[in-house]
Amino acid sequence: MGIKEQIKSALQEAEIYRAQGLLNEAMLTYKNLIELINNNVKPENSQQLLEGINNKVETLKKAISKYKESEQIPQLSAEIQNLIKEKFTFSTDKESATLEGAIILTKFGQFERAIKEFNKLLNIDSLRLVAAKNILRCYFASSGADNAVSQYEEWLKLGIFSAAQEEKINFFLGNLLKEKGIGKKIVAPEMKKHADQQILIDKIASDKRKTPSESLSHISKPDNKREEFLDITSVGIIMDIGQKKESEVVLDVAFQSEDMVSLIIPDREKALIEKFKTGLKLNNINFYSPIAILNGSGIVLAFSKIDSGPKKGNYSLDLRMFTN
Amino acid sequence: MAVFNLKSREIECKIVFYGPGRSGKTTNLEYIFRTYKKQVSDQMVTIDTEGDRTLFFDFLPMGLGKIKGCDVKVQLYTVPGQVQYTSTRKLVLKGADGIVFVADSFSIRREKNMLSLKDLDQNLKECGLNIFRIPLVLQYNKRDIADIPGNTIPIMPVEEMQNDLNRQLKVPYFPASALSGQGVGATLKECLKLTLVHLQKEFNWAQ
Ligand SMILES: Nc1nc2c(ncn2[C@@H]2O[C@H](COP(=O)(O)OP(=O)(O)O)[C@@H](O)[C@H]2O)c(=O)[nH]1
Ligand SMILES: [Mg+2]
Repeated sequence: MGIKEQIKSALQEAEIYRAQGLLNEAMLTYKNLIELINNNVKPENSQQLLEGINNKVETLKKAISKYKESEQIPQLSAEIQNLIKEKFTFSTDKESATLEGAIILTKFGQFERAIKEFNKLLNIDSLRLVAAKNILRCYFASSGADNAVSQYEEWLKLGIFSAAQEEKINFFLGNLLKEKGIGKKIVAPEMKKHADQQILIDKIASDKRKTPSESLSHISKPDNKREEFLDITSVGIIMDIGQKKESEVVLDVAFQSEDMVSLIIPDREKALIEKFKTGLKLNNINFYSPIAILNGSGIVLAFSKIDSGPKKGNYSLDLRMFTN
Repeated sequence: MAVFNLKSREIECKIVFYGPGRSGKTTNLEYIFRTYKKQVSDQMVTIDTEGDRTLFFDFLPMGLGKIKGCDVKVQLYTVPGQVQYTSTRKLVLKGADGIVFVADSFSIRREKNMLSLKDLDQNLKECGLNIFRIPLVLQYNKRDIADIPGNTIPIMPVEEMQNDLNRQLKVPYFPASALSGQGVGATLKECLKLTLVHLQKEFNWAQ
């Protein structure tokens, strides 16, 4: 191919890439073309051509930065939000489905709607705390820390949480602020009357439909320090299978509350099922979150066969996570 | 995660179009939407950004009618290809019963194809699925470019794409043009066939 044809075909190529939205490829093609021209065409003949190409490069640069800007997630129509809720939740139990639906909305960046849904869940005893934390998280991710803090203050005024819950929310919010490097002071919840707390403890003990996290909250971590956990989507349990070989079994997270995850183990995972019992320590676990894989360990808090519902015959496992 | 309703003899399965950004996944669904009107049961939902890039997913529900005495429903999804949307891709992939991997035939996208296939492998693992076991077909898209008279845009020969992407997988593959529709129907049909056969082993849905 002569130099003229080479230039012509490179121009065509770049134009097709651009039309297909392959902007970086178009840019690369133009850059190579400029080099080709500089090396092969006399300056007095190439000036006009180069000017034309530079114009195209400028337009391309603008288009690329416009894409970057438009990466902000739009709030979708209620209809599409409903579709997302319908298609991406798998719980069959009504309450956990509502929770899952609200969480999925946050994963798709639909914070306003998610806040509305979490607010409904504040009416359900067993989900109140999870809902509250998620509401704060939503404010952080969308309208900012100030709104989270004023929501928290409003809750204190309304007094809809127990003293123990207020304490936890306070700690949670404090951590969120710290994480974001915001040096804002938040008011501590007033200590409620001791008697009040005792009633609550009795209530938790007798409540059959409590969430796993609350039912197990008496097992505190050894160092008593509660870290803020990422959303873990799946957990890979790595087992020694002899001869220095390891095998990883990846399990989906059905439910997460802070550092506690509930997993469903299909009954075909015989090797795992045989091993597990409450209190067992697992030393090598991968925690998969959408943004990172963390390695760590875990303690089995509860392990049992599921004997009703669609997951009947499988096993359910509650695990407390520790990251390295 | 297919849903099989024994009582009403209805099966609903999920097929995900995977692949690097701009390889033609959305264009595939658009063609299917226009062409298989009878089987399409509702509007196609597209969630994209200003620059017509898929933001979260495209969604197209289809009803294939009765197959072996069972009412078969299929939901087609595409994933956003851009690297930064990993978590969305994983959400959409969850519960997939079959996968169409749409590869871009432009030579300049060679590495992106391979990276995307690797990403699929990884994400399937995290969903507890195995790329060697899940019903999967490959589509080598944009073949029409090579047919343009006097085309000088580097396009990979099918053999080279086979070598890059299908050497180990050894799954059915289809040269296609989502723009003209050539090969689109064949790709979908093969994926559906593999998926339904696979689900037969699991649910024994066919009479
Ligand atoms: N020539 C040609 N262009 C195609 C073909 N398929 C898709 N495109 C173009 O490639 C670009 C990206 O397609 P799109 O379907 O949005 O890709 P996605 O990111 O995989 O969903 C668009 O400009 C399409 O028109 C094809 O088969 N041939
Ligand atoms: Mg798309």
